[in-house]
Amino acid sequence: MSYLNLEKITKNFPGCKAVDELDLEVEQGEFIVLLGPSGCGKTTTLRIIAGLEIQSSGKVILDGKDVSDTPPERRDMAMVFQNLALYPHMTVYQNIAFYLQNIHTSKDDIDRRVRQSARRVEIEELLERKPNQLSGGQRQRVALARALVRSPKLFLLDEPLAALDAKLRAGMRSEFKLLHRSLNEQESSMGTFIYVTHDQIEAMTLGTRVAVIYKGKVVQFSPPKELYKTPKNLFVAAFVGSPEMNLIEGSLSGSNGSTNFEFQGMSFKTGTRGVETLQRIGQEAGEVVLGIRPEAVTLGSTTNLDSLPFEILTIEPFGQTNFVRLRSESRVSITCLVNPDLSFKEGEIVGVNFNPDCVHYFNKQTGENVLA
Amino acid sequence: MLNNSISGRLRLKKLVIILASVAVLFYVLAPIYWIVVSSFQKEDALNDKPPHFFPTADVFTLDHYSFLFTGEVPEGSTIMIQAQYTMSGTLVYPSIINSLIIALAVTVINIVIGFPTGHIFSRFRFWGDSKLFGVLVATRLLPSISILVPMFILMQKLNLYDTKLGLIGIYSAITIPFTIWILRSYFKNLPIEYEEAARMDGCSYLRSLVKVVLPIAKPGVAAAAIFAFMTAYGEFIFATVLTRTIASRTQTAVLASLASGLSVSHGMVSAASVLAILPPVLIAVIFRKQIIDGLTSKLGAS
Repeated sequence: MSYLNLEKITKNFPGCKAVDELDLEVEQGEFIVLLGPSGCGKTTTLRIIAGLEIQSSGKVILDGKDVSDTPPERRDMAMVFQNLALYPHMTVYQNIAFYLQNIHTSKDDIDRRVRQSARRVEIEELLERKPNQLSGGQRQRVALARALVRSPKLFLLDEPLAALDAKLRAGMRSEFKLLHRSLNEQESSMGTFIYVTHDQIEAMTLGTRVAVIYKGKVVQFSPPKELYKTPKNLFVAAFVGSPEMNLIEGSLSGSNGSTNFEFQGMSFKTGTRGVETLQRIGQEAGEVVLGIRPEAVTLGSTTNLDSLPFEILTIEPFGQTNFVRLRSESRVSITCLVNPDLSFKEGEIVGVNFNPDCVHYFNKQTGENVLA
Repeated sequence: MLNNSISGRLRLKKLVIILASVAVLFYVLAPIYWIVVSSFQKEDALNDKPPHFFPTADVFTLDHYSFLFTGEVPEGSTIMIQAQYTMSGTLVYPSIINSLIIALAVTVINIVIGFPTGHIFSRFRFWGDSKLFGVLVATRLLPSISILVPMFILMQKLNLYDTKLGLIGIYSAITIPFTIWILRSYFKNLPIEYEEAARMDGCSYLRSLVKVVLPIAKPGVAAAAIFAFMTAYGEFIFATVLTRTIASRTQTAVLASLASGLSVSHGMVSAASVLAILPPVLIAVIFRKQIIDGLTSKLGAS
């Protein structure tokens, strides 16, 4: 039995199904990220775990106990809200102390723990201020301190960085990571985090495992690296990774010992992965979607026989790399990342090569990754 | 040049706004000024032509006030005395106290009942919720006079005729739907996350209401309280019909009896009116900020 179990959670709102028989198993001490586009049901799922939303059917089991019908105040979970929801009528100190007061902790104990928690997120000098006297980043820290003052069964975070500007967000992101590590290193009680975001960079950097949610279901639940390397289906492939994975429709067919992927009058020698794909499909030929990440696309001279001719549309320097958009004569668009030291020019015709080991093939009908 | 004409236009706009504000202020305050000025004038000076818009020392007197508090006519006063005034005059002060007690009790009952009820209507969906709310608000549409006779009989049967408690009950019934309506719209504009954060921080539903929602919703609650208070303080029809003695008679009923009859002492009516206006004015001044916040920021925007 895992630490947190969601069993066939369904939530119906008038006119739509926000969560659809969702299952999730989380171990103690994990940092789980629920990732998905807006409206996919990730926040509703988190609110059901918190008890702020009542599931239409299904069970929430925490630490061996069924808490499906327990009101939020008795589930022992701390939550950081998207808009932070600091109590505007209380000082920072009172905000952090509020939970401890509610469970009737002694005054000395409250003081010690509030200061300890404030020190942890470096806001000790702000304790006497009101929330409206704080900057966005400081408010974020107060919200965090409010959760850290407890040792709850779960930390729930609902897009906690959404309100911050990009630079602050990156800083807080690493602090979340550090926090999770230090909680699980030093203390006997482990910090288990459930973190909701639509930002895949947050998901990739923070999560020990990431659950990609789409239309109320978990479509893939795996460590971030695996999510990136072997997306289970087209949705994950397209959603995870920036810049996005190139997806090209075409057909696979084998002939005299080698397999080719044909699209828009072009042909790409697939190597062993294409052969395996055809074996899995169990057919001589099949309609598939080819997926390849921009960094696995290389540019070279058109004289190379295996390369495919593309015209460079734009080159956008990202600094450490250049982001290049290309288009073939038959109007297939792809993108790739190239070393900025290589001197390609916009408008130039180049030879494109796909690294055959990094190519994915997706079933055109079901969207499943054939080899995953 | 361009700058000049823009700032000139801005200045003109400002001037128009100020003039309009002054006009409105004059319209609202002039009657009150007239009452205050009249209450300090000798009775015969009130009939002078032209009237004393800015009274001088020779027409000044405190007689009206001293009569209202003592029931005795000072030596050499020009005050008009009839049996009617001696009786009603001594009732002014106790009736204002009655009105205050009733209005404050109604206000407290309004908040205690209207606050949680308004919150429930704003946050929870239950069977028949919108219909129930509709009926509740629709009771506001009934003119008082249409339920006067049944209420009279009801109060007699309940032994509440001529009691403060009876009026408190009726005024609460009249004002609570409106309080619920105001607070419901106020809560609808309040982010629900504050309450949810309180729940996550270990508060029960009721505790979250008291510890978090109430302090945050203070302006809305203050506005609702003022409305309830003013309705109860200024109510006339029920007060006149359902009370008889000073045990329960309110300032509206007593002031009305002062101002009716064959001859009226304008100085006395003015002095009584000034006394009756004082409590609500004081409250409005003290809670000015909350009232303005409550009425302007979020009220009824949903």
